[in-house]
Amino acid sequence: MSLFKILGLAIRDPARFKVLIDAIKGTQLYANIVVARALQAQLNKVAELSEKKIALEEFMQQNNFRNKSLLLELLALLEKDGFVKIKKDDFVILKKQIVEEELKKREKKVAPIVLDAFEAFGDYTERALIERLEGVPPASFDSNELRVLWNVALRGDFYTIQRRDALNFAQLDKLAKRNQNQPIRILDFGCGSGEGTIQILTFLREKNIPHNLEACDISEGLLEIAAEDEALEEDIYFFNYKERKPKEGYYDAIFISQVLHWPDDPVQMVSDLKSYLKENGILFGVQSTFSKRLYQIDLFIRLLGAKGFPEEKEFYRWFEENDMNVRFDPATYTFLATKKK
Amino acid sequence: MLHYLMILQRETGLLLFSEKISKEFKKLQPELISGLMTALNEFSKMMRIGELSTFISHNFKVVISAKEEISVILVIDLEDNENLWKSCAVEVVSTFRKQYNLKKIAPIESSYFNDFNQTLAKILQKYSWKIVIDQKISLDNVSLLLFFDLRNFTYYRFYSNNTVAKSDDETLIEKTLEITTTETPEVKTTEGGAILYLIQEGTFGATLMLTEQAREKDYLRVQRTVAFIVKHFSKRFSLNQQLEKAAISIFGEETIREFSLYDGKSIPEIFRDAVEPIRILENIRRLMLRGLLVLME
Repeated sequence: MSLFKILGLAIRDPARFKVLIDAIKGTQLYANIVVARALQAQLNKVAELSEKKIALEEFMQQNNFRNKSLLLELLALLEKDGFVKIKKDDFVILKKQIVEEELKKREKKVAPIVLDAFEAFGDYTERALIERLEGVPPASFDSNELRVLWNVALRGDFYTIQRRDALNFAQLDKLAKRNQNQPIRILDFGCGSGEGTIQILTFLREKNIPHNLEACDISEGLLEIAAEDEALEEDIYFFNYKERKPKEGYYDAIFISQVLHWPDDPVQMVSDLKSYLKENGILFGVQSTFSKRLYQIDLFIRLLGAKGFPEEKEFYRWFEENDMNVRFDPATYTFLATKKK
Repeated sequence: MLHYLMILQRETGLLLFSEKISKEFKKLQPELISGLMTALNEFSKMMRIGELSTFISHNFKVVISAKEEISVILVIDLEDNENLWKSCAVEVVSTFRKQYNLKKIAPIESSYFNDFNQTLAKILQKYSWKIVIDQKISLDNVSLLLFFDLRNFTYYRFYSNNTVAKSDDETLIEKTLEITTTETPEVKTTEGGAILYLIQEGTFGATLMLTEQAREKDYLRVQRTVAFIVKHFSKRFSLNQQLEKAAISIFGEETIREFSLYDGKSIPEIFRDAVEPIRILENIRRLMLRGLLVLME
């Protein structure tokens, strides 16, 4: 089904298909480079040992690592890249030293769309990766430099294209017609630093859709960037979701992009969002689901504190349990949900 | 402005020293001055040592500071910032007492203190505004932008094509000091068709004058920049090296290269060195908002 949809996209919109493939391949390649860089020093030491081999437990002890399952995940990536070999989960054999020059060569093959969004995350993710191996829990979603790194990522084409797909998928012009050209009340839920909110605003203006646009997030720092810079001159009401909840039964549309894999209880989050919608309101946006091709991105967002992408079945369940219909495009990860009549 | 200053012996009311400073005050009828003087004399006798007071008389504001044997009285404009002149009064009293050993001089003759006028001139110089930068800027809807530093009574003037007379600068600064308070450090008002945005934080402040055509949306950004400048006037900024890649990604190489010219500089230094200081400082505000800069005292 998913493959069929992706092929459908290739026929329908070859340019978009190319971007999708570049993004998938690029993130896989780039994520592996970050893992190699993070573990470079520790693994290269194995070269000094006889047979270039070390017991996994000893390797963990030497490096103060506590999270074995994560280490095995990371080593498996390096094994595919030919740097190491894992023998029955007991031994790490160094096949080839990790040399920066080679990593740089590989980096040149990463598509610009990926580098634009995630290159700035590189150093931070290397540090986060070691911390998770050491058993240190992730910092909050927007702590310190993460805030600016998200600001970088959300500005890039990687997320911009996803949001554009979602806006087209939702057919907001139909919603406006149904609303008899009364301004549609729209909420950008999890607006981050406001790039998506501006994109929604531009889209609504281009389509001549009368609107009242609001945006919320739980990060005070990201909201500050949104309200005090990105959207300073725009007529958008920004508010902190921790301090104020949206009005129930108030919105015609709620947009949510790559947020549902962050909370502990996504079913509850969908339920809350549903309660803010009018009876005929729509909930739409972007939500990646787990697949082999997104494994590296999934790993990385988990390193940064997210819960990981849901399986497609799981994603449907979140809406089913809330008595909502959902249409989902697994090629672009866009979705549109409405209340069941 | 300061019109008149006098120093009295508290016990006797004897005038030890006086200085008529403004032309307006010199022009006042002698009876009026004499009436005012009598009132001031009586008032100063009633004051407790160390007390500072102000009252309004004959369309002037009067600031009095009493210390041990003497009182100093300043006559200023109604719209003047009295806190500013109170500081001046305290400084005059203490300098006067240091310069003359009042306990040893008896009987006191006022001519004895004539040479205090040189000392006074030096003190007053500190309490008069000095312009540090007078630079033309090109900012939509902005007629005039003044930043002031109360520590040394200096101000930085940026003006546009709609030039506002330089003689109005001090009045605008005084107005800012008068209207803003600790509780309301930012005030928006209108005057003569212009929109005024006044802000003061600690010893720094700014007066932003906008054309009457300006819509709020049009000047929000410059307003934010001005507030940022006032808040960080004495600070220096440096790029957080760990986040250089992120900074370049958001702002572009050119902006970051331009910022590097001002890395480690204070705002007055940026005012002095930059061709477009307000634009540079707006970029600095945006960098700060994202935690891309490190602040240094």
